[in-house]
Amino acid sequence: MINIQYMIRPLFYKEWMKTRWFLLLTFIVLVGVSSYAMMVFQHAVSRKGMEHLLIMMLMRKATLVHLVKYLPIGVGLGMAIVQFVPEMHKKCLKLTLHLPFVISKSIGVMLAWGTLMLTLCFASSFLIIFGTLYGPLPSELLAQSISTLYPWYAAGFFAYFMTSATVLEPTWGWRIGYVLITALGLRIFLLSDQPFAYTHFTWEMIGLIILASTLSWQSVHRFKVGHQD
Amino acid sequence: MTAIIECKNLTHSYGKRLIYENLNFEVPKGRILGLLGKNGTGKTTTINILSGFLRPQRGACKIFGDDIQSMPASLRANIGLLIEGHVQYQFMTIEQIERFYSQCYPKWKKEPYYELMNKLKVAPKQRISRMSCGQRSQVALGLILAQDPELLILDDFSLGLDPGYRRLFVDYLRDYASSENKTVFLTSHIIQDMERLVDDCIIMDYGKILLQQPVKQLLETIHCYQFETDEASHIDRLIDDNELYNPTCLGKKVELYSFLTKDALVKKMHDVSIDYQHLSSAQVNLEDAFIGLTGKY
Repeated sequence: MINIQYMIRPLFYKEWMKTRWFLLLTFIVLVGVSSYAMMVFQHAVSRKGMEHLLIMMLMRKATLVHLVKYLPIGVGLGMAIVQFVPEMHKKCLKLTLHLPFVISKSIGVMLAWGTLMLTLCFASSFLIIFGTLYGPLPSELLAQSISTLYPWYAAGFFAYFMTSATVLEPTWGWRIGYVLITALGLRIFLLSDQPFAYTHFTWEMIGLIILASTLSWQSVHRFKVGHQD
Repeated sequence: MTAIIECKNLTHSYGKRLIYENLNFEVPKGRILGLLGKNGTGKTTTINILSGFLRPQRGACKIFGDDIQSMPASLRANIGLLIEGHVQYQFMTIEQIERFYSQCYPKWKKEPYYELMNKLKVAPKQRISRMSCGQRSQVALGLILAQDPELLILDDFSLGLDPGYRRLFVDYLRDYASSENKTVFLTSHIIQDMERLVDDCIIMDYGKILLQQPVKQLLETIHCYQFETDEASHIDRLIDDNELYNPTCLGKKVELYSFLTKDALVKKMHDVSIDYQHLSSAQVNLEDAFIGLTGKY
């Protein structure tokens, strides 16, 4: 049995080959948009004063981070496409499944790559926002902004896992089903922009993401045993 | 002789369309076996089952004694797989794909791969997506040679190749398999290539195997008989005879294939009262034998 550490290196290399340009672009866009959002914040502080901004945040529940809202979803979706469409092109996935590695672990390593890269991208965006807001904002208002942000990042992971399962799926019936689940799931993640709206839904969100992450194995299993329309 | 591949009672259908039922065959170690069949007879289905990408509805396939569906992952290192159309990771270059696979296979030998790439005069940084089908076929072959597996499974290896690349592929593979005592299971639409390459053949017809035997033996024993007759309609009397294959009639001229000797055929025609003239027997190649056994349509 080939140990998992021997499969990580080649599989990560393959995933890097597919995703490096997308990751570079994503990093630039995420860092750029997050920085721009924070520049808008700093500009507003210098123009209207911090007190005005704090009142706006308290009274109108303004969060200062709305520019970032749809980016994680786009990144998650794009990552899955860049990673798995080349695998399905001319059924290249057969090559991956024929490697001398346990198939379920190979799929796990590929998804782990995507998850790791998304985490790094989202973390870079989050750190820019957190780093900018940490000093000027009181902790309650900082928590208010972060509470708005994290469901969007969670939606990015959900979009990634659902799109991966959809792309890897060999049958149209399941593919359409997955698209519908993705649309409904994302609707849930984006229901409200209000601060702390998802505080009591965090575990459910994590549960949805974990559930979505298991679907890729189901798709690959169907591919492996030859399901087709 | 040890069987590297053993398939027993394979049965598969797509929906209501039965592809085959109770198919049995073995591939002995060190032999090159070609699977011949018309479109839709189940060649790709068989390759998909053998490479573990299709679960047969009934029956089992074993490679190296292990059931394909539950085969340990490490055993796949001993099986070289060429997917129809010489599919490889398009996003990699010649150099990158070699680096990737070398980390996956313990017995990796990069020399045969780069030897083949030098022959093609392709640059190490050339992307596979920008290569011609012929060049891609050599990349796929080079990677299999570098993997150094005991068994090679090649699905329609000649698809999309011009005669030069086909010949290069066949000669390289033949030389490699015979010098290293490798076992090869392959399919191709170009039967002339098969004749040059394979030791044994399986000829499939719809739902069954017509025969499995060494190509040399087949070509020595099968005959193409031609004769003329004024009673072309009487040919119907030969159609149901299971020792005579696909009698066809064009004007007065009749052609049929059989493993019977000329004397045995003469006796049979006499028994069914067919008058004939100018009976002749022609030597056949593998393509003729295939057409003769399976029919033109």
